[in-house]
This record gives sequence, structure tokens and C-alpha cells, in this order.
Amino acid sequence: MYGGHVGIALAGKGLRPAIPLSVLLLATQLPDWADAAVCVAGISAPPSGILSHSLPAIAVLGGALALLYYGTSRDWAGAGLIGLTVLSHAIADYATGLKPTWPGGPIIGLDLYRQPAIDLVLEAAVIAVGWVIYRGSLPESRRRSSPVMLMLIALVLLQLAASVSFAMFPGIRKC
Amino acid sequence: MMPFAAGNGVWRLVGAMLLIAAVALVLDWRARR
Repeated sequence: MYGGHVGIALAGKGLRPAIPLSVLLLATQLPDWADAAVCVAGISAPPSGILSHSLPAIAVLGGALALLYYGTSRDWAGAGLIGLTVLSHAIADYATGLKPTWPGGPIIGLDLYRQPAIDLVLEAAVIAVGWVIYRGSLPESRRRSSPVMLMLIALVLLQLAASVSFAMFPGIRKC
Repeated sequence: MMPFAAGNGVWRLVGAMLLIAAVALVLDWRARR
């Protein structure tokens, strides 16, 4: 999943406006950042994603970021939401891709990336729902402002660009 | 399309993540001004 992750971060902002959106975006993308770090570090640990997207990896990443947030904010509910946001990454990726579960466990997923049109509809729907919830964090007078409306349009267009790219270049390896 | 199609591998992923996060942050900042 790509844009859908950002939709989930927006929903988190709507549910807990005190959490900076930057922190929620980090949480929702954290497994992919970990994946990039593993790749750049040249660490070879098959199957792909075992150190970033498997359930144990998600527990470590989500727990660490949640504890870090609690350490700076003393907000248990916010920290819990951040942990859940990291967990949401794995759940969403099980829908759109194929991801490892645990060391020695099965690799599972619906692999919707192979059906880019369905992936686009799903991700646009997640973005839209997240955006609707996000608007609740804004003052009533700002909910129909240009930047807010542009947020929905821009995120869906970026997802469209990503979906077209996945369709045109399906074989590019991440690492 | 650049971050999605240019190059390959990890930098494509990083560019795409940074782009969409930056768009969300800038528009959120504008929405709250």
C-alpha cells in the first residue's frame, strides 16, 4: 500500500489531534523506512521484509515508536494510537502485497498490486475515509478550505501515479 | 511520476514516501494557518 498508509495517518490525526501529523506519517511509513534502511545497510535476511514487515518486526517498530512518543508526551492513548498505526501498515500491506508473517512462517497477502485498478480503488477509498476523519481535527471554518480539499485531490492523484507506475514497471525490485 | 518510475529499488521507495508525506504535511500546515 502507498497512499492508503497516509490516509490512515490522516485518520489518526482526526482521532487524536494532539499528535503531530509528522509523527503519524512516520508511524504509518515506519516499516517501509526500516525496509529501506535494511537495504541501504546491505543486510541480507530472506525472505524480503522479514526485518521490517513481519509481525515480530512490526511489534518491535511499533512498540519502540510508541514508547518514544510516550517518553516525550506522557500520552498513553496517543502512544497506543501510534503503535496501532504502525500495526496498520502490516495489515494494509497484507491486502496489497505479499508479506512475511514470522521467521519460518508463511508469506501471505492478497497481492492486489497485480490488479492495479482494484488497488487504486481500495487505496483511494482508504485515503477518502482517512481524510473525512482528518477534517474533524480542523476548526469548522477550515474544513472546506482550499488546502483541505486539495489534500484529498493531491493524495488520490499521487496514488494514481503510483498505481500507473506499478502497472507499467511491475518487475522493479525494491532492493 | 519521477519518484515512482525513475531509478529503481530503495531510492524509488524513499522518494515516493518523502513526496507523499511532504504533500500531506504542507497542506495540513496550510489548512491550519
